[in-house]
Amino acid sequence: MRVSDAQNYLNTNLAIGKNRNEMSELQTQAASQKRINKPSDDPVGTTKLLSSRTNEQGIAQYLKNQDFAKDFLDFTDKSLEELSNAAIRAKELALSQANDPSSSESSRQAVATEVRQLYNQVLQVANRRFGNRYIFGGYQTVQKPFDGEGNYRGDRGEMMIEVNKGDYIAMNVPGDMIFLGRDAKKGGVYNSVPQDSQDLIQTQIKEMREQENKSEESQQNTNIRGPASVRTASEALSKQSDFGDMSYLGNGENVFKVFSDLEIGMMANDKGAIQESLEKLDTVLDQVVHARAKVGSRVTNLENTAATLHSAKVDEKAKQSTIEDVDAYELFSNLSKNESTLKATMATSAKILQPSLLDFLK
Amino acid sequence: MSKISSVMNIGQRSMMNSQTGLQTVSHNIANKNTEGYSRQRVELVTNAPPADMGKYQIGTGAKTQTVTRTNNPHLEKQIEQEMTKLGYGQGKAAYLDRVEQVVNEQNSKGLNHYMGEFFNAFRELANQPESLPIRTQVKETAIQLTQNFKKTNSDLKTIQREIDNEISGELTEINSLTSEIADLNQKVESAEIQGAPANDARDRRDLLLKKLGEKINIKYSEVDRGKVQVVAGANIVLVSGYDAAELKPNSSPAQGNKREGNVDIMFQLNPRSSQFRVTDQITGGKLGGMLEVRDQVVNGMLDRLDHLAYTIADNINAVHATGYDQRGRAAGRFFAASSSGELDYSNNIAVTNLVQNDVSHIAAGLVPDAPADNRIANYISSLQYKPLFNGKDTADDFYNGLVGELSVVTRKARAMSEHQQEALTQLKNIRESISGVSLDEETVKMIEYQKAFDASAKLIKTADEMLDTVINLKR
Repeated sequence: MRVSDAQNYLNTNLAIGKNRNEMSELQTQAASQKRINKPSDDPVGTTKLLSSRTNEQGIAQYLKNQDFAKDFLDFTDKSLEELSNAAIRAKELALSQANDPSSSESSRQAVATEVRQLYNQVLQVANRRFGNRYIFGGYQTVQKPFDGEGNYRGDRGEMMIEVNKGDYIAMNVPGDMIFLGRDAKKGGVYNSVPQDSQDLIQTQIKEMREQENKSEESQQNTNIRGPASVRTASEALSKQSDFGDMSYLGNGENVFKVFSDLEIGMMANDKGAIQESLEKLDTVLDQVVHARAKVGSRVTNLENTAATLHSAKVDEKAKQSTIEDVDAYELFSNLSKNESTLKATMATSAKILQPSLLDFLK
Repeated sequence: MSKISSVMNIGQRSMMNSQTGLQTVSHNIANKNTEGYSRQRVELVTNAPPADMGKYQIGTGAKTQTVTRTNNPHLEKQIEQEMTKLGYGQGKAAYLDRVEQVVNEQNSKGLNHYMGEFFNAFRELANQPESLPIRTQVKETAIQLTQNFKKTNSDLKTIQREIDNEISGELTEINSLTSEIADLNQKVESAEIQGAPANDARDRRDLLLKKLGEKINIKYSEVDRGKVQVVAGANIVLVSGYDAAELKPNSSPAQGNKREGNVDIMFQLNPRSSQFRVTDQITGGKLGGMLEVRDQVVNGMLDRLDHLAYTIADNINAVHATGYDQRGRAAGRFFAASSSGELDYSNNIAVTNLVQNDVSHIAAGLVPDAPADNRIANYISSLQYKPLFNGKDTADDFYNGLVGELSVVTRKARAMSEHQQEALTQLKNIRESISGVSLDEETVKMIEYQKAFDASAKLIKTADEMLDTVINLKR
């Protein structure tokens, strides 16, 4: 083949240009230590990276949520422990005052004061705050859920916290469950959250209707409010509506009522009432233990999920690293390979481009 | 019958031939580095013996018939076609590189990141719907998301504008190329009408055609008396005879895939005639590549970005509006509506003024007057993993798909332009092998002609001496 001078230059340019280009790409990789520096370096890898990063972001948030929920639950547990101690103390007092040999009218009078203090302690626990939020008010976290008579002003709301993709855990226990005995023995760890907008709207309609009914009822109650006897009747009525959908009515007790009944029993020196209270205090303890078990199992569950998430986080990191990080050995061997190719190209080019017939015609 | 004067004549003509040869050699050497130059050769033919030669047919030396260029027109045409492909690939790859940078999240944070942050902010809100700082954080993250949508949108539009600017520049160059080709048509015709091939004018014209081909998809053919006719696209006659038409940029309303404000390419036969739109015919060359990036790739991305922004906003609005805000009021939209609907929503997306001015308007709860009710917040954050797109893709999937597709297109364009570069170099090598100047070869020729010149001079000297001998016979 005939070789013209221009060809030599053309080929030399192409070869050196190609080498230089490869060199510059390798250098970019060496500088960033990344194999993927722009999406087109590896389209499939890039999309994998993007979704892995989103997962990682999610995991970080779930871990944060878990810490938050765990603090809340731990605090709830501590409060319940106090409640349980108060109930135990009340039971001790009731036991000691339930029969004549060990006690007398005067001792019962004295104990009644302590029971009143216990009642106040229970009320304090019921209105406990975590940060700025009342923990036993359901969704009603900005006002005291219980008034001095132990009337519940909160609702049944459970704050569902997302602790893993699509997994929610209830962070709070509504106060009426613990203190009024609603659904005392019910409840698992996970509660369902609305799955689609239909579900969401249905729930909304149902709850709004319930709220409406409730306010109508309380209005009726206010209307018939009159003499004391009627008031108790209406109160009982409203209590009943609170316990309306409860299947474990026998298991649930109004803690405040139990304590104040005990106090009244002591004051009235009524042994029968005190003995009755003993039984009810057992139910209260049961109720509290059950609530604590519920809280405890949620915490355990959180810890398990946390362990899973922590390892998932590491997995995502590892995955990202395999996809985007450069293999140092490969990179440096490529670099030196490329360098020697470049040198060889330059050396041969210098040899080819130099001589011409003119050099020999002197 | 042989004559001494004949020897002298042959010698003289031969000296002239050698000079022509040497001059051509010098022309070749001088143009060794001229782009598009084809080496030239002197073609010598034997001079026929005169009619009255008598018994012996003795020739009368050599004469220069013509100076030709060594050139393969089919190869030139093939190179032109490959350059059209190269121009297309390069025009596309250069701008796709830019487009790709818009969605590159390897070194900086982009939409993928901000979408994640946005949904996480609602998870945070679900933890503490009562908290004002967290509500503010939700607002700020949402604003960041909208700003990032806007930035992506405007980055893409900036690229479109840059393409527009470059198209205008390219059109000016195309116009100057076509007018020079038309001039060369005239030169070739007037030279060749006298019988001499217009080597240098043809070389120049071939080169210009190749340059034109790199910019725009053309077809050309030689029609009458060496003039070429150049047609771009299907029927855009750029050069015909001595006349060149012009291509002009023109911003016009949206048309086909082209968005409003981007330039159209208009054809104008001469300054007095009216213009008509030829954008759709330009599918090759650098212009074709750039137009494809501008009208197909970038507009496709803008459409999908709009769809992404709109779908997210629309779904969140629907849920948000079913909820109740911090003060128990029925909530409205979270993202503001746009009068143009989905069109350009990635630019129009914004958090409503109501929410921006007072974060208590953010709805977290499903029922009124329940401060810790977080069900709306939970539901909004769960939208991140809901198949909002075609019933199967989440917002992340949709966006990642967009990035993935773009990177495949970019990768392909880059590979194509690299491959094309190599293919073209091969062809250019073949061309240079045929038409390129070799110094060695020219040196040999130089020696050859010089020796011939010497020998011819010797012939004349010999004839002169012979004449002397004849003249001195009588003495």
